[in-house]
Amino acid sequence: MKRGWLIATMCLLAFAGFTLITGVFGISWLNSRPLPLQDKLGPGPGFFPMWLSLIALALGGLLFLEVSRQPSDDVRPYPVPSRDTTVKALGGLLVMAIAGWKYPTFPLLETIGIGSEIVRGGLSTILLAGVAAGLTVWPNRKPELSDDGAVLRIAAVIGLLLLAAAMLDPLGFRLTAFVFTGLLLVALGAPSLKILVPFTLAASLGVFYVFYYGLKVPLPVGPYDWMLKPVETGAIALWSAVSGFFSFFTR
Amino acid sequence: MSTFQLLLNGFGDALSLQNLTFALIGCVLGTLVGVLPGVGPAAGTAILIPLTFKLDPTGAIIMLCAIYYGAMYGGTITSVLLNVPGEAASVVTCIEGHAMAKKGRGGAALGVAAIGSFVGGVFATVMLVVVAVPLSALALKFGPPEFFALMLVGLCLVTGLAGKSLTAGILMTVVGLMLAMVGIDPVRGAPRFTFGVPDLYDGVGFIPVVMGLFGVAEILATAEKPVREVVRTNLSKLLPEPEEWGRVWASIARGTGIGFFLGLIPGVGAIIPTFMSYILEKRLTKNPESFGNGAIEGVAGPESANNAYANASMVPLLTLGIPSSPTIAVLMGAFIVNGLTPGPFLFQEKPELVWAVIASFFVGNVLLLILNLPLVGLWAKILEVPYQYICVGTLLFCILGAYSINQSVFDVVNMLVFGVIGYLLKKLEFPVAPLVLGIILGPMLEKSLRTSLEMSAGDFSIFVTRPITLFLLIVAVVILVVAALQLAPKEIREAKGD
Repeated sequence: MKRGWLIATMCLLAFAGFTLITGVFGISWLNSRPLPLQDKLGPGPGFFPMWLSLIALALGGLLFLEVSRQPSDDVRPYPVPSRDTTVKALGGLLVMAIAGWKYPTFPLLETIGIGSEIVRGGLSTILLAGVAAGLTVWPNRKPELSDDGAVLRIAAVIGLLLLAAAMLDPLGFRLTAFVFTGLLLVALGAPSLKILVPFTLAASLGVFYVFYYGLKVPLPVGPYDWMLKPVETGAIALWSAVSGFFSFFTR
Repeated sequence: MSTFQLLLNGFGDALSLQNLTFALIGCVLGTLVGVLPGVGPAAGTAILIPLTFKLDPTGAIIMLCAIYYGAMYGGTITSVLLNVPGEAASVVTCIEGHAMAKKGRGGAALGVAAIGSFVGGVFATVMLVVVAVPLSALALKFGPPEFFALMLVGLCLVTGLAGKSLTAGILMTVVGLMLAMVGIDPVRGAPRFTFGVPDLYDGVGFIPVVMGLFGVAEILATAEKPVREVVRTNLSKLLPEPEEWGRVWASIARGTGIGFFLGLIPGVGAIIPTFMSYILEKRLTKNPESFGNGAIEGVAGPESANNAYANASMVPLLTLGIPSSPTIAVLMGAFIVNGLTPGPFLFQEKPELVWAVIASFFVGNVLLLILNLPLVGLWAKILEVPYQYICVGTLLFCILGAYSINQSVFDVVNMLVFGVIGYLLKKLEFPVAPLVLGIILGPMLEKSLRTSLEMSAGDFSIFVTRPITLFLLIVAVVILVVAALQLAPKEIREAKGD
């Protein structure tokens, strides 16, 4: 616990130092220019950054002294994974991050000019889903309460969120939600297919339908709209026909 | 027009079929947010803001407010049946409420909590009606120096009254203020800390940050330790024994008073009134040995305080434009998204909206009493949904909500980053609430400080020559001194923020 507080304090001190330097002096290779402290009318845009950074540095120093004087303790705030798990979790996160940021748009295929948007979208979906499935599902098939299990579950949540962020714009909400909910459910402890399939469908197609058409929330449609829209419309038509049929006969 | 007439007109709007539906949807969603462990009112309200993008502003605000106080009601259910607070303000309810559930009196605990919440909420709203007009008239006389001092008092309260370390609390506030500087300078319009990234010109984005710190972070914590145990208890008997009623009403009255007065002060946070009420009930009781073993006063008092606080904290938001907790800050964000600036001017510019919203508080409290008394069994069933579905569903809505604010993936990544930071800080028990309030108050604080100094041509004496400003600044100093000397009761100091 004590070590964690010390590390957190050091991070905050580094942050304050960074804002002080960028605010007052500017860092040219980060596109930041110094902010004027004073102008004709009064305090300028640099006034707040400088004073807040100085206060934060002082408080950070004080907190560091305060914490370092406290006795050490044995409280471990975070789960401690075995080396195997650390490698698995970090490796998985890394591959997912790279896959997420590099492949949804398939820059290589695009530059050569191969395939339509749909083909590229299809390829990237299969690839991304495969990578994510391999990394999140396989190592964590039996969720347990050990620290290793906890770390793998946390890594799965973070990695799949990264992947979802990368997939949203190129592939659309429906596909992203389908891949995200399906894989995360399995990663957090595989439920039976009987629940998994309807839940995933409702989370992707159902949520999209309600929010995009019902509440007019602007969501990315993705390259499969021509294919998914008839499915949705058909499903809704079928559902209203069935419910209408039942309400007619139960009246 | 008199206040009463304005309120009557408000009722006319709030009771229209459309707004009634929005209030009902808000109450149901809010109770759900409260019931689901892992989604507090702040994250819940933030996630559901996109729901309201295409609604008319009155309906949108009515619904989001209903989500807020609905979550305050719903948090009790989880506390009683799971011994896990559905939201931070129900921490205290776990103590006696869960003890009652284990003795088979879960129904009575939930019933008393619902009645207490109703009384607290309605009383606070009546008082809101009474004080709103005079207070906003007073606030109109405030200049930038007064607002600066008032916000400082709020920030001092947030940092001083909650958290293990005062230094860490103040540091987190300052870091929040620093994060708020990213984007366009509120006075001169100069870009700051944008590093040439177009997405940063809008700032760090308050809503994704809240979703991350309070939503994603909670989910990560749940994913780490997913075990929980629902206590099966008797929910058929929802009312206390006849001989308990006297004590219960007295507790409800005391809790309501505490909650209301603390709700008026910006910065107190939802958790402190409940702790104060619990301590008071424990000191006043005739049989202290019952406390810890399911004392009904220990549920009735804090739950009334909780909801009286929730409704009273709308007073500083609506009259002064100052949010007093992260959840209220999210609501303020919702006002701004809908093109409204809460504060004294709102009463003059959009009286029909304000009064419709206030009237909807009465409607909402009635709806919640109905939802929570006869239908409590239904909510208890939701607790049996496996945690995986709750986690996945919440995260999906987080992605949807963060994306739809600006139709930008940047906000989704932003949310994830703050989710990881929030998880790490939460596990360390590092204060997070001050950070959030710093981010929302940052631009306003800076603007008022710099305009004050422009008024005085750079002379800092403007803050001591104006009586109200001077008084407020002294209050801020006193709060910090009290916090530094650890004069506040231990239970309050150890309570974590919202």
